[in-house]
Amino acid sequence: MTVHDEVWDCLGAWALDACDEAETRRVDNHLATCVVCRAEAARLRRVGDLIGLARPMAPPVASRSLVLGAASAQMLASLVDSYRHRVEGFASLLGSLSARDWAAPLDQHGDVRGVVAHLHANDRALLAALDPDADAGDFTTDAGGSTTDAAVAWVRQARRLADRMAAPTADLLSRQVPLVGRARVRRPVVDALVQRSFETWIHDDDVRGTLRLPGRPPAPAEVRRIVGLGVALIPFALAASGRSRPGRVAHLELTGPGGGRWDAYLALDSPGPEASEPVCGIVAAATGFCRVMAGRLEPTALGGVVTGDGAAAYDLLHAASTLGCD
Amino acid sequence: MPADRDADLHRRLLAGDERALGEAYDAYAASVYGVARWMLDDAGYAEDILQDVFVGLWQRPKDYQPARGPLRAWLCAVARHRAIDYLRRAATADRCLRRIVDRTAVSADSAESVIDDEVSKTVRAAVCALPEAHRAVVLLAYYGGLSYRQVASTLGIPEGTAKSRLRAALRLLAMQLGPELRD
Repeated sequence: MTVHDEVWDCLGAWALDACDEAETRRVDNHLATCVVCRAEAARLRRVGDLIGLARPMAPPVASRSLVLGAASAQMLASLVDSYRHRVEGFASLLGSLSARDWAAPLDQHGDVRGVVAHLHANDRALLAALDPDADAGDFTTDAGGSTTDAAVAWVRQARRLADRMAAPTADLLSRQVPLVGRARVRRPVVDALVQRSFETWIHDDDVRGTLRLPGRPPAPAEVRRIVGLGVALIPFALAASGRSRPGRVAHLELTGPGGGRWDAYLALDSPGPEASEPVCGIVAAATGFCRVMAGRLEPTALGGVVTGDGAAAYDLLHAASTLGCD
Repeated sequence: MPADRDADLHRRLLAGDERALGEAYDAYAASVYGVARWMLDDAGYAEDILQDVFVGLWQRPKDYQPARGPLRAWLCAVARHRAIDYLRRAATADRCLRRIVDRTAVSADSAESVIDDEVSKTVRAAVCALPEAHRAVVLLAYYGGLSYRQVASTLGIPEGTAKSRLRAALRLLAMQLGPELRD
């Protein structure tokens, strides 16, 4: 009997993981070189996997909320890590600046102190939403104080915010808080933390750009979260600008680090049956889309490719450009 | 179309969309729980497996590759492997095995399944339509997590026979379930 014949005989057992380790290795090695066995193995494996569908049973009702709660907690932990990383990077930058750097003019918020004060105020808004009765403490960035005091005040408060998020209760995870920005939309706290990371990155980038320092681009997972938040907020931004398209969807295919595909609803209502066909498609860089959201890149400068209804794509990108925190 | 839905869910899970996890749970939790519950006496552990499978999907959506088959079948396969790990450690493994042997003759319209859909009915009918000798080896290997040698020993048949019956049974199922395989 040839190796091929031996493996062929084993494929049913292999498809159900019913071979011992040595036989499994032997089959795997043969499959790497034999097209005929590989096709049969794939077919039998798919059949084997289908057997499990035969006996569905209603799971305990509480399982759903446990699964979604665990996913939220895991996501929040990852967001907190990402936020801490972002905060410490910006704090390190601020600690390295000279008096002249602090006074360097910036397009938004005047100078570095203005940026820090602005970021401090927006972080404070989330902290206050989480703990309305909490003492604001001594974290101030008053213009009368030193730049060192301002940096210390901001980073202390940001760390406190991260600590608060790192010990979530079920109540915290389910709470809706107002986001910073023009729309003042209320969203889950995980979205608010994504927005804090987003804004900290953008201001870090503002300062680095002005001082001609290399940027610290966000990790791909961070970019994906920012885009995801933007896509969720686009219906609100379109409604605010009077450019909603009820029942319609746009398809975003974003490339580069953090890229992926998203469908953006173009109105606050649920999409109708016609939404299966996107009204337009936009292919562009994911980080570029984030910069559009931040108001740091004009929609017309995003580049990329638009297909379908150009006016819908234009309205979407202009709505996205209102999602910054300035 | 399930394949389209799976691709959409996968894309959204990769993008960190929590609603996609809720939708995947609503669509497939019963199948996943059914596998774990069918294999194990311990309802609590079956529930743990259910939760682990979906939290794992959330944490590592890249582990699923849509081109390799339906998401539901993949989730059930993950649940099955978890249950097999448990069976190989548990003192109740023999009891679970006896239960599976007893159930190999179960009919297509068994009242055991408390919820159902067309795919489940089709797969169950195909399994039940297998010749009894073939059905027994498949169910012992799938739900009992037994090797073909253990299947042979359990049923008192030669190892070569157990091996050839497993392949023959899967080929019969493949013929019956052609449309499901294309999804």
